[in-house]
Amino acid sequence: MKRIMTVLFMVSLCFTLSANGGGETESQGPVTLKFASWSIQEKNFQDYFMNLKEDFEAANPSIKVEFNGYPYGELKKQVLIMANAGQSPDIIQCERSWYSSFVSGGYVAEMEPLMGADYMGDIYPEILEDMKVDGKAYGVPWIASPFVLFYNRDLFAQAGLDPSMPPSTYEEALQFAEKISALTDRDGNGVYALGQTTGAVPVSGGAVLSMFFSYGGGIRDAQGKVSGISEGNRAALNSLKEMYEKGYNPEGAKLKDLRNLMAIGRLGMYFDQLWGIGGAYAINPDMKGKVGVALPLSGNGAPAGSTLEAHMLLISEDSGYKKEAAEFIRFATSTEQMGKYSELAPFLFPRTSQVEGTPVYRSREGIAPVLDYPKTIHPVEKHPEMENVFLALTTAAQMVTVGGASADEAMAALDKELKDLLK
Amino acid sequence: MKKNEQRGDRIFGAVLLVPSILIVGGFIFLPVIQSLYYSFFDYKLTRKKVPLTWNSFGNYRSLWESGKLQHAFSVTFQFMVIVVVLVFLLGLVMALLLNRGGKGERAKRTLALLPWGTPTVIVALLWSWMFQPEYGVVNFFLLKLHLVAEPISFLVNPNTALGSVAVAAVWKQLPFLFIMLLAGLQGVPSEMYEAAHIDGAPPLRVFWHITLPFLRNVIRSSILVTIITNFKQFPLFWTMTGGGPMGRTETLAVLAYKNAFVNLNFGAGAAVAASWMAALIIFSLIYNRVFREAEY
Repeated sequence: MKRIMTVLFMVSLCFTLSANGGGETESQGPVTLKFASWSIQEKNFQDYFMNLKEDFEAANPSIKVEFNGYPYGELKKQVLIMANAGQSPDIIQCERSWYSSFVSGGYVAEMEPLMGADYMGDIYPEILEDMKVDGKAYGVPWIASPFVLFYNRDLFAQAGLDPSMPPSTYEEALQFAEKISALTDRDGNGVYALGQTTGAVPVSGGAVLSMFFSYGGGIRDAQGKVSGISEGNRAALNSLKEMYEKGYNPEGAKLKDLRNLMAIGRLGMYFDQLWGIGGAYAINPDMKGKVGVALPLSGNGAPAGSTLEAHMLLISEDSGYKKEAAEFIRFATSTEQMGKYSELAPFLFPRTSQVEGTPVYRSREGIAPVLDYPKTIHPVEKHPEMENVFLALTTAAQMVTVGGASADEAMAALDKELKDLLK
Repeated sequence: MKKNEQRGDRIFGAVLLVPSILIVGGFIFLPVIQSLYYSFFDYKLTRKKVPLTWNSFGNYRSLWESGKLQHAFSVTFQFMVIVVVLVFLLGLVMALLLNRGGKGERAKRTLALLPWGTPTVIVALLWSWMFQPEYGVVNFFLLKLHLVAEPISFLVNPNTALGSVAVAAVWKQLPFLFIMLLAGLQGVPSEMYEAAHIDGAPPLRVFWHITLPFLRNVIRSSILVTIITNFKQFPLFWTMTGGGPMGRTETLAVLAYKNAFVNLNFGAGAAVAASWMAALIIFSLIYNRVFREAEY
């Protein structure tokens, strides 16, 4: 009897285990949109997102919004796992460097049929062009920015520089850096003069590529062939080397390291996405008003350039509620909501009518100097290996800095890697 | 009657094993076999399920030709050796010191176990902050003690990055070796030490001829666990260096992750994992053959 009871118990245990592994039953009711986002997890933005949800649900009573928050570094992986398990979220917040992965895997829907030609036609052409794959855009920009230059006005004044006159070229920036690097903070610690992120993360690769663009380089030659070797790239890498050897740039810094240094007054100038300065203000609110902003710099006489940095909104191809998802995106990117969002962290509106129709926004101190940003945007490849391309660019930057290699050696290694990745 | 009882026992035993076989088979063996299978095909993650294409060992060939697999093996092996040697030596010293008995011994042992209970990702973040060049505590002390003139960027300098991750790994894993060796030390019969004492054996001789031989089995199994732990170490590398600078900390785990979850190339990711698994199995077999279990 005891044995029979034990066997029955084992059988019921197996049954329970297999039953727990079963799929969920779909619930009936009003449409619920699932929105996968990392920003919802950030403390500064939580109130804004809850208000956005309440406002949207009040205006659209038949649609509910459910936020699925993930840490920034986990979102792409989690969304792909969910999508392959048939549980794709309806709306996806997407970092620029992940865009190619979602598009090339066929996970996201073309936007023009959902958002309408008027909406898409209102996006700055340079930005829309950067989002197109074979002539079709699979996402809309939510917040946008190039890699702008931030500078500490107090340190400019202390170094005898005019705080209202930021540099416009790399050559000028390096001259300014010489003066700023002679300063120390109150505790006697040295000040880094010119920060450029070179950490081993994809976003740093975007910053390095922006520097290549600004010197007239890039990852393709004049004939459009993949190449890491060019005069522009050589000049950019030599400039990075100089910044490192003269102690202007902290070794292998990630953007968060540069933001921390800016917050504690130990960084004179640095390149970041426009909203990145919010990280410095969160650490030290006293920095507000002390930081100036300028467009990307030009180098060697080439026009200033940058990759497009953007948080995008994508609609899942498998979503059963694409129309409703488009409605939510239209609401979230309305001028009113964008205005509220931009009060929390500065960013650039990606639609022309919103920029031109909002004089208050245009005149904001942290926005006005960089309003001409679309002309600096260079489109980049939409290849599934782009994240690795960005990492290869950080490796080239590390080779000429902490690795002690020459610009030619770094370019040769980069060229080999690019040809392997983008073949 | 007896035969029937034996048969019944066997059936009952087999039934009891079924859940374990299902769980181990379903959650361990099946994914391993599936991963090995994928490593021979072009398998990229896409929404539309495309049929798998045999690529004539293309995943393995491209990893080998790029040199990334060999490099990752070399980095993984260097890391494993550094950590295992340090963890063993420090763990042994700690166990010998805390095995003497005395005031506060229990409190000291409890404190020594703290790093083991800390999640690996938290350990990685803690040490990343401690190694930070501008405001990290390690550079603060090095500068205050005039041991260095400039702060060192431990995690971004190609010469120090691997060693810095190893320091975090040693800190995290030391308690495991310490507690295993301490347990082993407490199992050494006291009569052996008494006899050595009566014979006038010097401490080093006692350690070499009594302590170490009795610890042999504990050392053998705990070192194997440490080797495997470090061979598959991922969170420390991904959080502290992301495989950089210049690939200096790109281990097999990082390479497999990058291929599978950054490039979404599951075929290449599976090829790294299969090579890695094969190496670990061969290594474990050799290890177990060389360090056979001791019999007392």
